[in-house]
Amino acid sequence: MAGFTADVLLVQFINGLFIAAGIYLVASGLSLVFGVLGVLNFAHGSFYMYGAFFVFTWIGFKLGGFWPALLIAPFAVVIVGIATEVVFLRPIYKADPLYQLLLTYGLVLMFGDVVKLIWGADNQSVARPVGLEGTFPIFGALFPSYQVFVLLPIGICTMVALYLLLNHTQIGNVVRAATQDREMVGALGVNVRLLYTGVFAVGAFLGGLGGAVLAPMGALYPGMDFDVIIEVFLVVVLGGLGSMAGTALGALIYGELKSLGILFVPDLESVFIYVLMVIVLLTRPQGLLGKRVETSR
Amino acid sequence: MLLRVEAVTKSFGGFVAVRDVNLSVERGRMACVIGPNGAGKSTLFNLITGHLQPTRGRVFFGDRDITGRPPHAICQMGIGRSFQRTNIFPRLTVFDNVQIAVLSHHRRTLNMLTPARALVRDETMALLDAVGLAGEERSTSGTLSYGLQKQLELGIALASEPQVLLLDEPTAGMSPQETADTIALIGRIVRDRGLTLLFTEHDMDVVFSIAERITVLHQGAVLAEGTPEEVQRNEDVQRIYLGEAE
Amino acid sequence: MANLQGSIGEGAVALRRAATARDPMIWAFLAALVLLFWVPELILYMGWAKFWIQFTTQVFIWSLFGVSFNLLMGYTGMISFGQAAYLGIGGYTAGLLLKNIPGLSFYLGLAAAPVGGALAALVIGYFCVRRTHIYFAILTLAFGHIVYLIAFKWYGFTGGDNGLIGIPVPGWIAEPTFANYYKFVLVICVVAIYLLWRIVNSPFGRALTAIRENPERADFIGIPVDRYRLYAFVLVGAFSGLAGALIMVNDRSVYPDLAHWTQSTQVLLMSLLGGVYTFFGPIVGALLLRTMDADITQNYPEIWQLFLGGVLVLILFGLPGGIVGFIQERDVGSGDDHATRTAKLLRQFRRKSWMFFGGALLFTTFFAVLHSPGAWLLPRAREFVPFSLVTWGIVPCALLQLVVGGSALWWLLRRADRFNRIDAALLLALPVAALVLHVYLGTPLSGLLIVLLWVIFTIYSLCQADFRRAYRIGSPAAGGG
Repeated sequence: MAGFTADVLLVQFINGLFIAAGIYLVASGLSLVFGVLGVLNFAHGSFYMYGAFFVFTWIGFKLGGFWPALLIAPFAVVIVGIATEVVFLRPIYKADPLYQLLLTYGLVLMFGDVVKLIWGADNQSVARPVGLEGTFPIFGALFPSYQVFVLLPIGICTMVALYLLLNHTQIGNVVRAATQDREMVGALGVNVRLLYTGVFAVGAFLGGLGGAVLAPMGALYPGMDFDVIIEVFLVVVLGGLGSMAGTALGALIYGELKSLGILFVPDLESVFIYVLMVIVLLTRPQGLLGKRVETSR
Repeated sequence: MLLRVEAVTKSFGGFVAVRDVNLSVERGRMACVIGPNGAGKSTLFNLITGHLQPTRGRVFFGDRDITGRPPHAICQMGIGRSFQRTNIFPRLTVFDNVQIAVLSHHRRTLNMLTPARALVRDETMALLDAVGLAGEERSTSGTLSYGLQKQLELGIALASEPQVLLLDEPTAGMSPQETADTIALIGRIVRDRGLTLLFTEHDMDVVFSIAERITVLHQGAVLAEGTPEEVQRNEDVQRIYLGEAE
Repeated sequence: MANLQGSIGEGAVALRRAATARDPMIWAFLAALVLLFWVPELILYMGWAKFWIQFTTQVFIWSLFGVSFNLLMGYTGMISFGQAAYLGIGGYTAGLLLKNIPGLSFYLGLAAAPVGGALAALVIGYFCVRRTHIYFAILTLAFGHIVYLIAFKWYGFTGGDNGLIGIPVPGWIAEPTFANYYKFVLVICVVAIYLLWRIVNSPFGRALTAIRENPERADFIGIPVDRYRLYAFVLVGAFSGLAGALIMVNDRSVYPDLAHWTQSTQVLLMSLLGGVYTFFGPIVGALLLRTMDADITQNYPEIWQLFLGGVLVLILFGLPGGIVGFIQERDVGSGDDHATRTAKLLRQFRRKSWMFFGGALLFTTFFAVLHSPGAWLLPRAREFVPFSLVTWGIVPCALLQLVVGGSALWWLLRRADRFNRIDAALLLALPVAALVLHVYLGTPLSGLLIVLLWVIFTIYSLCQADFRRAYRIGSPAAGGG
């Protein structure tokens, strides 16, 4: 246990920030959609996977390589997202929440096999963009340049952008009102259908962006959707479902626990996050920054 | 005093829904809580039955302090309740609705092997008879008319053989005829079984026809308390009720 | 004193009544046991592949898993997305004990599986049951995943992804036809499912239904909702563990895959497909899904999940009660008079018959195409075989069925409100003819099962008292729809 110098801890702390930034990108979309629509979108992991595979395909076209793909892939995912919302979710907003849950679960299964049909069942990979293959020193330690110059800035920018969008714009006011009371927004004369589609599209964009940004950092494989959705669920349960600040906090805790935990218990570092989740559930069942729901069970 | 609420306050964040309310009901009495929408009537009921925890204050049943006990424990002590929104088990039959309440009252719901079909049949049928649902026992309860669903709810509440019955707007949404029938039914049941009744109501005719004590809530606080005559004469009450379009 | 004696006597009577409480369903279970007991002999006698003995064994195990899972999903209204965890824990508990303790009785090792499943469900359930719906779904999924991860990663204990292999089983189970193991599993599953039947129909089962319908109200008739949810979760964990151990014995090995989320998906779909508000629905679901699995993964394993997802979406939009629910469902108001009831029943019968006709046609065609992909439009075989799909092409054959069968059904249903016995017989003859045709054409089993369900639906409808009355009384004057 003992014997880790401050240096090692600092390095792992910064690595934790990278993990946090990546998972935040994906989790924020899920949390936003849940907050406004009240739908827990299992298929959010699929959007992440599609984002990554679209980048892979675009690079195959050799039309400018990675950078345009980083922008195009999320928008391609938005199209998939809007189609999903209009075709599948719209007819069942009034149904039991369990139905919505099962429906998005069914979509996960379908999206997963579509990936296998299009891109095959093998692992694929995306090369890091030119100039960012190497490492970059911070405080004397070397970090992958891609994480330092792409992942972390995009994560932080997304967080700031979402904050500004939600708190300082007219649309943000409506969205926040919808998070508080879904029926009320309809009474205010807002086009709820459009609002829902719009929010779902933004959620899909964030999922796709997460996939696109993370694509050069690991293998692309069918099943990555499920792996990521579990992690995202852990993050939002920690932070509080539907709370954007909670999602950021949850992502930070998740990243740091994972990265520092690996120092102490390699292999089973993911157990830490479960232990923490259990503690949070026992003491603050609504999550760290979640709203307390008193009357309804 | 069978039911006593002492200086109960409930706040949600900054909003105080119920402020320092005192209320007591004597055994065998029919008491009513009235007040405009949002006066805190339902919150007060939820505080009594354990669905909400008071921020301050205590609730006594007989001489037992029941503050903070979970709803199922309070129900087992002898407080029955109906809810403002109809609260039944919609996809079960009328018979099953009342039977499960009876089984639960007899603490027999942990029995995992005896077929439930034949259990507590007579008691269930007697209850259905008492609330005027004999002959409907095989209908799916969710398909009943609104009035019949309210009667069923009364039957479920009675199954726990309560000493106190809390009814939240028992005639809300009913036609004048249904209202009259329901009130007659409630009055008969309460008298026959020697129950203590505490209810909330919008319809002043109903209130003044059966209530023996009336408590008026306004913005979460008690505005007036007394016999129907006293409350009717109270100037504050007149001001509120005349000032608002009912 | 007399009072005391009286109450003791009453208690004794109540006890005896509880012990011998009549439940006519026990005869149905015994009949199923006796009938199914000799299936392996039948299969061997007919010279069919031994595969079918193992296949049926699998269906039994999954039926047990599905029925117990449905105690959570259908009866208590808790959708667990990680139920395979308990399947895995059951398999590993029995497997590890049998492998590591030489000389341990096989039965004792097997009996440890439900205990292991229940203990795990107790610990995990403690954290999950207090949150409902969405949180419950997330938590069961997350905890299910960590069970999988532990099985996958902890090489020293579980063997990791190499699995546990070479688990010793008694010689009589290891005989080559698998007939003995079939019988062993059959007995265990029938007994366990009967136990579940008693549970769902007991006061406890009623309490769970009340919790599903309205947890707030259930709480205020004195049912401690969270505790009962936990009891249900633990019970189901035990039965799932038992099912896991039976799968382990079948394979004589356990792999982490047993606890993988795809298994949770399958059990979820079995319940939904068969019907969550029915007790036997998951058995139908298990049979259908296992058969479809065999038919699809034979040629196209890569579309299995796509198919499952499609089925799930179709059920949610088209068959919310599942297949058994669809057959049983009767949308008749309690206040309707005889004429209204009859009219409604006939209308529903027409609609459902068309849906079965369409469904049967669609699925038989779909599976036939999967089975012989080359012959979907045009004949593949050179030689001419009359009445063969391969000769005529699958799609032309389906179109022919659509025209011929559709006209026949239309003609029969048009007459349905002035029905006589001959019409009823013809109405039944139609799906039977379809079944015979598809047996003859060699349509894969999944397609045949759908047609078989159509037959069962027709028999079920024609046997209903309301329906019988409707067509015996029905006069030409009353008809006109």
